[in-house]
Amino acid sequence: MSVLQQTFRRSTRYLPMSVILLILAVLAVLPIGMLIYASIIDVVPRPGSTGGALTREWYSNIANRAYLVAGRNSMVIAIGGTSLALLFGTGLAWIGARTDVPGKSIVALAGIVPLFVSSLVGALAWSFLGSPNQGFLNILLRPIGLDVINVYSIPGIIFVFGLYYAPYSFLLVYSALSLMNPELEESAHTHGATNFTVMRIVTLPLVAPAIIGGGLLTFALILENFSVPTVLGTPAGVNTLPTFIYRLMNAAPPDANQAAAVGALLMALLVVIVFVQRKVLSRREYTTVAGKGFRPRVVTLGRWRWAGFAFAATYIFLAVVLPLMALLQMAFRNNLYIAGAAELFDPSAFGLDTMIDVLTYSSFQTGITNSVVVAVSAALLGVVFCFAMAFTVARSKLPGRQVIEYLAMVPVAVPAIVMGMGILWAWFLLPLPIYGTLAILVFAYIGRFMPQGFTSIAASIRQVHTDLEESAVVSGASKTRSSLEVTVPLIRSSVIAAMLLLLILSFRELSVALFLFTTDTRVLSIVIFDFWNGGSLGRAAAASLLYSALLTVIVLAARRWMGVKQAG
Amino acid sequence: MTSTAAHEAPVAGEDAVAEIEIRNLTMKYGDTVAVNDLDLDMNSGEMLVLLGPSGCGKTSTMRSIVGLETPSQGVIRIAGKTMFDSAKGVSVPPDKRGIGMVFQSYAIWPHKTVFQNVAFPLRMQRLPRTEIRERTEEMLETVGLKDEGSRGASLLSGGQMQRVALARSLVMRPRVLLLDEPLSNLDAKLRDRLRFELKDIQQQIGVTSVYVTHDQSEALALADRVAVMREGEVMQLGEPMSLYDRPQTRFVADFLGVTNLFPGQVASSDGGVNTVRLDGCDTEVAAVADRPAGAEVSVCVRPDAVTIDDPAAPRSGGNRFSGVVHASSFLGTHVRYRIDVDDAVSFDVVTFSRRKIFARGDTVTVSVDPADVRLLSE
Ligand SMILES: Nc1ncnc2c1ncn2[C@@H]1O[C@H](COP(=O)(O)OP(=O)(O)OP(=O)(O)O)[C@@H](O)[C@H]1O
Ligand SMILES: [Mg+2]
Repeated sequence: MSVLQQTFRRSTRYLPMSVILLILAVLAVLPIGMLIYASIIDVVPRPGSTGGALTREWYSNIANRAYLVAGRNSMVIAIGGTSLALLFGTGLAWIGARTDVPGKSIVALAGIVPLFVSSLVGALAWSFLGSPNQGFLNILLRPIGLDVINVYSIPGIIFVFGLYYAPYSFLLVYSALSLMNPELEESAHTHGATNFTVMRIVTLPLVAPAIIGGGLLTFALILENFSVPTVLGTPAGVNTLPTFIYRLMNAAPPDANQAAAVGALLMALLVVIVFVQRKVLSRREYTTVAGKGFRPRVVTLGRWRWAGFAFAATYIFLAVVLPLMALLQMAFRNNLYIAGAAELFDPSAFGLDTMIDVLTYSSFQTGITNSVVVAVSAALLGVVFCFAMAFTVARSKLPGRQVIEYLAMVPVAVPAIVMGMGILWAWFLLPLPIYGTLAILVFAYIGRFMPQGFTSIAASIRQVHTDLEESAVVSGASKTRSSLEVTVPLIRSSVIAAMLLLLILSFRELSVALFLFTTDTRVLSIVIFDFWNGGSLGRAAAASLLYSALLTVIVLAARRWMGVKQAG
Repeated sequence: MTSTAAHEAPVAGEDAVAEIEIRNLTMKYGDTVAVNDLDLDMNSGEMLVLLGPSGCGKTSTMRSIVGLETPSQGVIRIAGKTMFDSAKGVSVPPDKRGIGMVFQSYAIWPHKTVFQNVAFPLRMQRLPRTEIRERTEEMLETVGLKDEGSRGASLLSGGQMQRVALARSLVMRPRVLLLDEPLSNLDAKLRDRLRFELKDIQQQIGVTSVYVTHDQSEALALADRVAVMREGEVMQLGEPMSLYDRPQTRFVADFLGVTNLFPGQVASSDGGVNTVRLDGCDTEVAAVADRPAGAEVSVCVRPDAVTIDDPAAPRSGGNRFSGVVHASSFLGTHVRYRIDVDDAVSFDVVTFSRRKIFARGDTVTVSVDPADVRLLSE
């Protein structure tokens, strides 16, 4: 009996872990496996088929000029975009955390607002503002002969990336600057260093890891971004690796194996960057002395206060105000052809036609429903799954629990568009016919965002002393009971924050869904993308406004639970 | 020793089954052996103190008893019921063992009130609501927190938290109570007071208790019996006074705060008296012991067994050394001296007499009765 009992106990002990590993295999391992597999065989992956002979063809094709140009564009754009984003991000962080600039809290808010504008919407808005000839800015500047703005270009793409990816380095640097022990700087000051010297020899070295880490993160995100180079690069024939992958998949017939090979290469690049980024950020712990009760040292800017304010205001103007005005123009104009600057301000040119059209458009309505259903399900299921993983890793003593941690973090290094491809092929193999349903999107979003969910929940569980749970167990509660009575209530607000984060990220996401939707399962971001793709710019603008308004409502409702640091 | 006669009664019953029985217990963290082949028997109602340096496996022993760690080997029985047996594959989960435990950090749940904290174990037993209320309130009264029930537990002081933790571990009327350094987070004054309170409550309830500490004065003050541990093993087990008076090893003597410990070699053995030559000097000490000549030993003398006198005082038998007062400190109830006898040997002396106070630099005579000298192995 005891042997039976023991076997039973052992198998139930491992049951939760086996379920978690199985889900991880479906969410992360299988898609990546399929991607790599597709890149080395000579037949296209199809439902039920895994045959094919090995080939090197897809990789050797990459030496072709077109790929090399796309690769070079990707690098140039990523480097340029990262530099600009770092300039905006660290600049705002310093001004917001360490100076006596007027309206400091607004500066801090400015640093994160663009996080909640999807890069698709940002790129669309800037295409309305800065396209050659018809761009609003060019129309406005034509009378003075300065109508030379062209965002349909590599510099244009870099500029838009710089604007919308600044918040990532802002968040990291802002927290490093505000958590730094002011005594470190004050002691340099009392030993005779000037403000500038203190900054150079104390402050800068201490925040360097945050700047470098933020830079690498931004670099990785820009490198895998699909929507900005698509919207702004397509008119000028500028390709990057992600847009190239999309082009290959959408060719007739699709060149899926070739896309897989390019995707695998892009993923390899990302793996290296993410690895270096983690190394840099893990050293952050002992460089910025984190602690409570510090009042960060404030630099008095004097006459330069207003220059600091102007910097922040300019950023907000470029990243939020101008794009919003452009979307409003496009969404509420009756006639999209604009002859001159005066027409931009002519009230008779405006009306509600486009807006009403979009609101009554059936695919927009299904898009909203689908987005809400998918984002809410992904957030709820995702947070439960992330909690289960985090709890197992942080609290169980089961051998192999570290594997969960590694697998949960894998998607960080997988480009969204590549992940979408892998998921598509993975579900060809799996016995559940969920392709063409919203369920596959829910799976994709959970897979894509589980690193963020896992990290934040695991961090909060680790802050709960194990004694608190064990004393419940000793008092007669089962393990599950103790985690429900003690752990969950103690980390409730972090779990809610993680759930809202997943909700917002899922709602915002475009790339991972690109190959996974069908006519009936289009989400809002796809609907907007299709409007743009089909040339319905007014509708795209109107839908973008509604989309952003929805996101803003979610963020505002979520603000209560989400600290600045959780927003990334 | 302060334990009452009534309390010792069950201990005396020779054939009574031990309340806690631990056999061949071995527990490992990976390759680190935290508890090494440990045997321990505890009688009903007694308080056993596990004493030992940091990392010697006290907490691990306790966690094995309560079931939070799974030993790799051994048997644990409580009141005759097998809780763990590696050979038979028996391991009762901690929530079914019914053992009370006070954690070093107290582990008070900050999101519950004092009452909810204490009532938790009863809720887990699915007792009727009225009974939970009655027993919880009774328990809160016992620990002196009658009026604090509705307070949030995160607002309590250290001492109050300690009481809540104690109440929570006792409310389910466990047969066995485990306390892991329950006073170590408190300041010295509070620690002294709570120590006696704790002992009072334990005796009043009569619960068999294991108390972990690395503070030897706490151990001696509280225990019915003390087990001195080292590297996962029990070095010596006994009542506090016998342990202090008759340590068997240098480690135990050192850990219990016996300060006069000198390594040496038995020079001669004659009719139950050994003469030991101390290492690194010519000083010889006589001891009532029976070791073979040439044996390596440690000479151990309690500081209160040493007397000091003027060199001119009349001589009595035994060990007499001439020395110089190196330091003297007045500690209220007693005076403590450090007397240099020669380059390698200096005695720590405690005297309660104020008849004559010596000052630094005074020449004195130090004497020790050979019967008070113990020879210890390592
Ligand atoms: N979770 C763990 N993982 C690995 N080794 C551990 C763990 N907990 C304890 N150990 C090791 O096991 C040994 C015994 O530890 P234990 O906590 O039982 O000591 P202790 O006597 O309670 O010490 P202290 O007085 O410091 O609390 C030590 O060597 C310790 O380093
Ligand atoms: Mg311990």
